[in-house]
Amino acid sequence: MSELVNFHGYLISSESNCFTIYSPYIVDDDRVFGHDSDYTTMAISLIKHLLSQEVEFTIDSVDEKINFEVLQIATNIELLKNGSILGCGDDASVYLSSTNHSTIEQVEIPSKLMDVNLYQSMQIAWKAELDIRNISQGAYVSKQQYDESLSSRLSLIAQNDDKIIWPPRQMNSDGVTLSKESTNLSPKANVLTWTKLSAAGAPSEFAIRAPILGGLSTVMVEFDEGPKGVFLMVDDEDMEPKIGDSVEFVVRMLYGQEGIVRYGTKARIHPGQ
Amino acid sequence: MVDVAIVGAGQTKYGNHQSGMKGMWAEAAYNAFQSVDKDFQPKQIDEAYIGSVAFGGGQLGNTAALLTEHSGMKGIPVRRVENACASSGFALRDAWMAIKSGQADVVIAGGIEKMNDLTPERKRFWLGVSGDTEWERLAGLTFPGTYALMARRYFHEFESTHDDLVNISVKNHWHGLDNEMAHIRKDVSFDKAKNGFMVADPLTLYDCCPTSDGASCVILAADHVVKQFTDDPVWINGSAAASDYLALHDRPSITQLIATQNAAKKAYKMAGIEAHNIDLAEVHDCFTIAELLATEDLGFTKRGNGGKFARDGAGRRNEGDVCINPSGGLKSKGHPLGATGTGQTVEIFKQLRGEVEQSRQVRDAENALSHNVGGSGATCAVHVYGRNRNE
Repeated sequence: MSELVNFHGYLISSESNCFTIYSPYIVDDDRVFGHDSDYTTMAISLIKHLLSQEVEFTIDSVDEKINFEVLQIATNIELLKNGSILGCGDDASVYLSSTNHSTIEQVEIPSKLMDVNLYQSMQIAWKAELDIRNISQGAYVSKQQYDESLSSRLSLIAQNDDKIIWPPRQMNSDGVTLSKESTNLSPKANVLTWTKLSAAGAPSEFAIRAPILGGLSTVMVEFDEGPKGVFLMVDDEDMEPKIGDSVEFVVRMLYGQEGIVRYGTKARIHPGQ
Repeated sequence: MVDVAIVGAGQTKYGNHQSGMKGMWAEAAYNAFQSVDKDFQPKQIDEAYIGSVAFGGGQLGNTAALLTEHSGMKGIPVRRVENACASSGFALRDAWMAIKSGQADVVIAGGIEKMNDLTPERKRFWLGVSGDTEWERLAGLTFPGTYALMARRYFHEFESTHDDLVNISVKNHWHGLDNEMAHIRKDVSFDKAKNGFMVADPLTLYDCCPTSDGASCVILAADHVVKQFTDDPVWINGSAAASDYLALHDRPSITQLIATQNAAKKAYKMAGIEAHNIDLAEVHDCFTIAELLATEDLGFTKRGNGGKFARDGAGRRNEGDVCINPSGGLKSKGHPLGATGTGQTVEIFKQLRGEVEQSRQVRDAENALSHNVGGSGATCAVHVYGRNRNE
């Protein structure tokens, strides 16, 4: 019998030869992705869960619907021969299996009903955002600029130069180029302050989706190691953060531009508090 | 070393301006030229520094050359100065330094921004461009959000509530009511400001400055040529600037602007006065929380007391020791990004010479201060002015 675990806003089942991560959302009896999830974000959460549980596994193939570059930077995994398959289900699920996934016993997964109009609006919004013709007419983060700090963005890798530095810097005040040797920030942090920005004031990158979501919530948090950061919130529809709340970090889709999904870390109120 | 005085200052009305950039700049420059008490010709200008973010990208390159050529200043060395909303505060400092260096005697400092000729869709691409684009913008922040983070944290750390910010909004709307150059001239009640549309929780519409078109221009002169232009100059007795981390989350504290504190200390020292000697101050209230923090960072009240300072109405015109934002500030007068810094100087020039509308004249003012902030505090220019030269 499968064991179900809530992790990063998803549900993970584990059986002897297969681990599967599911989106909790249902529309018209179909399992669908949440507002900013896709196969890549779910694959990242599945791998992070397995690593956190110290499960031993190797992977030798990854479904092409999963962005392997992003997965690799976010989880630090490598492909090895004779490993398992990281595959995508027909519904909003991702599995890691050493056998043919279709033979795995299906389990009963708890679900959250999502409003069909909301779901459709978000689908249309993402399609428009990911149109190759959707380009910036002002502020712009190029692919190179974005990739320069991708490991810091996706896996919270920081520099250690007597004190922990994040996001990364190039040089210290002694004129010494900082080493890229790194340390990972804690996967949890505390809320220092927060705001909810109205849709009208949202940056252009979020202009299509913000009205559908009723605005954007952002938190500033402080990590145990000292650095602070600002993050969009996720799964916050039914709650308002409070100063001092503990948050965990999840990789989700940030925005789309020029046909490319930009992934990033978002904050989620820690379910344990 | 040579001292520097302001001998002329002018601006456009802020708001939705009918002219394009060239027309707006020419209007501000013309008003500045006309304000000079004695004969003045544009050809007497040695250098020009024009602040602008170039919002919308209409003329990103060689902005200053285009504008000055269109307004009788062809041929002089010019440049655009960009430091976000502090662009013309830094243009003023650069102009002051040009005279201080002995390389120029008459220098223009100005600023301009055309913001309301963009569609709302296009405008979004230019909102928040002066934050840390890669980290703050991609966390959903434009400046209302950034300052909202500061406000909520301030309320948490000190004895203050949103009502204190409402008092600032009400005061600045009252100050700007009779300012013919102001963008928003209306009396706003406490209840209306308190219950405005929520822009970025906890900041409402009445905590936020408007998006304005505008241009401003001031004429600086070296002490040995001042008499050619006026017998009633306003002296720049202190000029200082500083910078800080661009991103809010990189700063040790988000309830104070270290760049403001550092610039203010230097400017006061240079002018030989202290905060309590200032009679009026044009401070950078892009959001009401920014004015609250500025009253502390500039030394008008102690740290943590900014809420009470606002609650007590300490910055109201002719009621307290110092008048904060007699023009109405960015909240009422408006905020055409690149024009704001030297627009503050225009107000101070006219206030110290007793030339503003009588109903809003600050009485018996001798010393004044302008405080111009870029973004959420990454850059800041502070200037101290006097009716008398700091000998």
